[in-house]
Amino acid sequence: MKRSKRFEILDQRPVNKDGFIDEWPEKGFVAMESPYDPTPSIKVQRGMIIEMDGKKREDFDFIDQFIADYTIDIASSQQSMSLDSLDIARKMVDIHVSRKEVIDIVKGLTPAKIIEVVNHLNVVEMMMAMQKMRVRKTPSNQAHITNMKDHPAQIAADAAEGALRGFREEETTVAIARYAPMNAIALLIGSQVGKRGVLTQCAVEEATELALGIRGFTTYAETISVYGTEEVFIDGDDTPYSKAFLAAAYASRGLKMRFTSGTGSEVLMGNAEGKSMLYLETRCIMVTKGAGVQGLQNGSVSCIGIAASVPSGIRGVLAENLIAAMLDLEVASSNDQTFSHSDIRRTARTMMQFLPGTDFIFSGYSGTPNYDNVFAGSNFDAEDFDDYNILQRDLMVDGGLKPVAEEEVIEVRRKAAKVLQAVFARLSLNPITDEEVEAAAYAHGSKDMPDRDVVKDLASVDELMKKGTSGIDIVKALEETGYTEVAESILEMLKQRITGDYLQTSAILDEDFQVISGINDKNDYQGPGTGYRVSKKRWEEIKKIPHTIDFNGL
Amino acid sequence: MYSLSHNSKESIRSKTGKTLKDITIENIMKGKISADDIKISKEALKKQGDIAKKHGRQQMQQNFNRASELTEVPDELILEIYDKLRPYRATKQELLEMARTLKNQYGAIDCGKMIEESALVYEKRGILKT
Amino acid sequence: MKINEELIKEITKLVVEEMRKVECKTIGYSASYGRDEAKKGNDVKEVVIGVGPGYLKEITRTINGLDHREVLREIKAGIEEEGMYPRVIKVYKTSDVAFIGKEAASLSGSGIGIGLQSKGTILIHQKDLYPLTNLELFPQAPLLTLELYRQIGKNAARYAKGLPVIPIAVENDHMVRPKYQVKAALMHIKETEEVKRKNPSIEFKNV
Repeated sequence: MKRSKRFEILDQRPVNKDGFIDEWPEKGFVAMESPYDPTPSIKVQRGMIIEMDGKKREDFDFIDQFIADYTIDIASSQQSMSLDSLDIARKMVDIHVSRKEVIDIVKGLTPAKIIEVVNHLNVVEMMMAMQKMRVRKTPSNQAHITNMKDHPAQIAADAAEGALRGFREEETTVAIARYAPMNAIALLIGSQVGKRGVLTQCAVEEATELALGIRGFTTYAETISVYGTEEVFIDGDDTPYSKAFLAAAYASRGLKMRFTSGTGSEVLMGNAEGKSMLYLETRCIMVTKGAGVQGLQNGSVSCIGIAASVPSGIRGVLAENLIAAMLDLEVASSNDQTFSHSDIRRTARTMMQFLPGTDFIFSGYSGTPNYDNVFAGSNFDAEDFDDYNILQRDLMVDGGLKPVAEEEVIEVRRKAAKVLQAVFARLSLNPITDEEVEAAAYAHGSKDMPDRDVVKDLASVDELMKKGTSGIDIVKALEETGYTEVAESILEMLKQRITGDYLQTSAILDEDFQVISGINDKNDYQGPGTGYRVSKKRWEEIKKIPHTIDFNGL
Repeated sequence: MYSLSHNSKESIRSKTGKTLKDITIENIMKGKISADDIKISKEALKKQGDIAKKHGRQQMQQNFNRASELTEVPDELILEIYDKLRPYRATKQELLEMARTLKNQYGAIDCGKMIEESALVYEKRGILKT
Repeated sequence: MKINEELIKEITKLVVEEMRKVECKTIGYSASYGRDEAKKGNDVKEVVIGVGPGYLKEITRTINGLDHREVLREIKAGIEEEGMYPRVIKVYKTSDVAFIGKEAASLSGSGIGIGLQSKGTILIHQKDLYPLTNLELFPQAPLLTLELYRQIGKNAARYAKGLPVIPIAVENDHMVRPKYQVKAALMHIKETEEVKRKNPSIEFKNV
């Protein structure tokens, strides 16, 4: 065939480099409705669920059983299940129906019923529902702070800049697993230098992550994965019971935590049992709820390439965020993984959470250029900071960030690296040189950073772990090196785990270490004039972008 | 009641009985504060559980109850139990034994119950250690 | 709209075709591996490579088209260069790379094992680590080359010798997911269909 010039151009568009596939329910390649999804049903006998979604109790797998025994509110389930799905869907978008009323209905629903409800909603209705259903009134944002060299000075500097830009949670991970404690320490210190009260975590293997938290190197945890089929849960080396125990373990040490799940993971891990991605994800969300965990990171997360490959997949991603909110959970709504070559497509995907606002719109936004993002790239990265700020300004939406001055950024980056340098010296970690501090102050990414001696780094980390160094030792080191203010901030962060206020749903801290959560900052949206509104002060921040035309300069 | 750091500033105690005011840089420098002093107490968790329940979060209260039981359980044992709860790690007897230890030695009734339950579920689903 | 659909279909077709090609090549394939159950080795100089259940069976090339035999040859060469002995086993009970690696490490005389999925994802494991952790992980299989596989073998051998090891730096391509995730899922589904939970791992010889 002689090619049309237009089609030749179209074929070369970035979007056509993305992976798409036709629906294939047998293998789970279907977003929100599979012909194999069960029909909603519930039977209760003597206070116990004996049938759920057409399955008898004796046939329950461990997920079914956990949901039946721990998640579903048995007292209200018959009543809730008898309601028409369409009616429930309408209540979700009806401004005359309160958030609480919806929550009280949803707590008695089965997974199949919940997806029947959300399948009635189009994306605009889902966004309207999300605006009402998210737990915390004030939306917020989370950053990824990583780099390919696991360079501690750069982590500290990027953490400080991220905090200054407005992120209230920061997450690191490792290029090399054994770097975990060092990265966690660098993030902890850097974040507090940038802005006080930022929560930090280090995403690594479950047991290691808990150990870091107990030590006081992190202040919350997120990478506690749950899955929607039994086989995949087992491949994830866990069960709902081990995960529930882990949840109690975190709380017993006063540590905030949330679970993680997402559509597409069962497909990617090869065992979707023919169910729709959303049905399986709903099971994950309900396991989270049943374990008594305050929140969930979901929105396909690292499997977004699968969800995005099928029709209505991105709508399904918004639906899963919404279901978490309907179940009264904190939602850290993903947007944290590259899934498209197309700038149009990736922006549209993020608008689904950006416009209504979620507890954390990103989980997270890459605070570095994507080449340094060890989570294999986020949907937005450091090179998109100005685009994002302008989106906030264009639409008068609070996406959690603000424009910042270059001088100020260089200053906090340098300070963060310097403070870390002092702490490293004190804790006998492989030293950070003055040259590295300077590089970190001005760096865009790890390509601008000198190489570390990896063997020495790891040896010194192993030594630190063997010595039993804890958060208290970091505070001590900071005080001894004259960084009293930072020492106080770290101590305040550690003290959060004594009161446990930030264990409540959707908690973040303000710059005075005061908790803002679903208890004292309850989302009360019920139409125009209610809920979160951009304050005058916040609007001034958002408006102040650097590159405006100066009349006098013409 | 909420937040405790605001409304119960004076009365709230860490696991070792320290008040928020005791935990200062000065005391750290004097060596008076150890890592154990910045752990949450049973009581604080119970209070947070009550708050959660009051706001309609029943399961969260149950989790905080289990957590309050675990405050007394050493870190190493917690990590060990968690590992045993993973698929194919423990026999039914080992799980039941662990539940007993938690109940008898630490008074961790709710945690023990959940582990007993898991033993039955794991047996039914064939994910016990063979 | 119509064009879009056609395009999607076309891409799907290509992917499926590619999968089939892979399949066809396996027909009549004669990798002679015994039925002997893989045993725990005693030689501290050995490094065990565990391959996934679909390796050189349902699938014969990694996600970026590297021949399975050549990949194994390079890893083994890397191990031998360090004066250690490679032994290959095929794991049936799981298709998860971490568990494959853990199984290999558990059976390895040195306690160091390599887990290798048919799509090419690979990691270095040690017998005492948690299953889902590792010494080195290479999650972005599309970026791996034969040279890198050889280096991975070398590094595994160095861990086995107890030497300090500089982990291998791999490029980070943040567009790998959009490009390859669907294909990775399809390949993994194929491999997972070969899983036999109850079957022991076997010695995988002459490859």
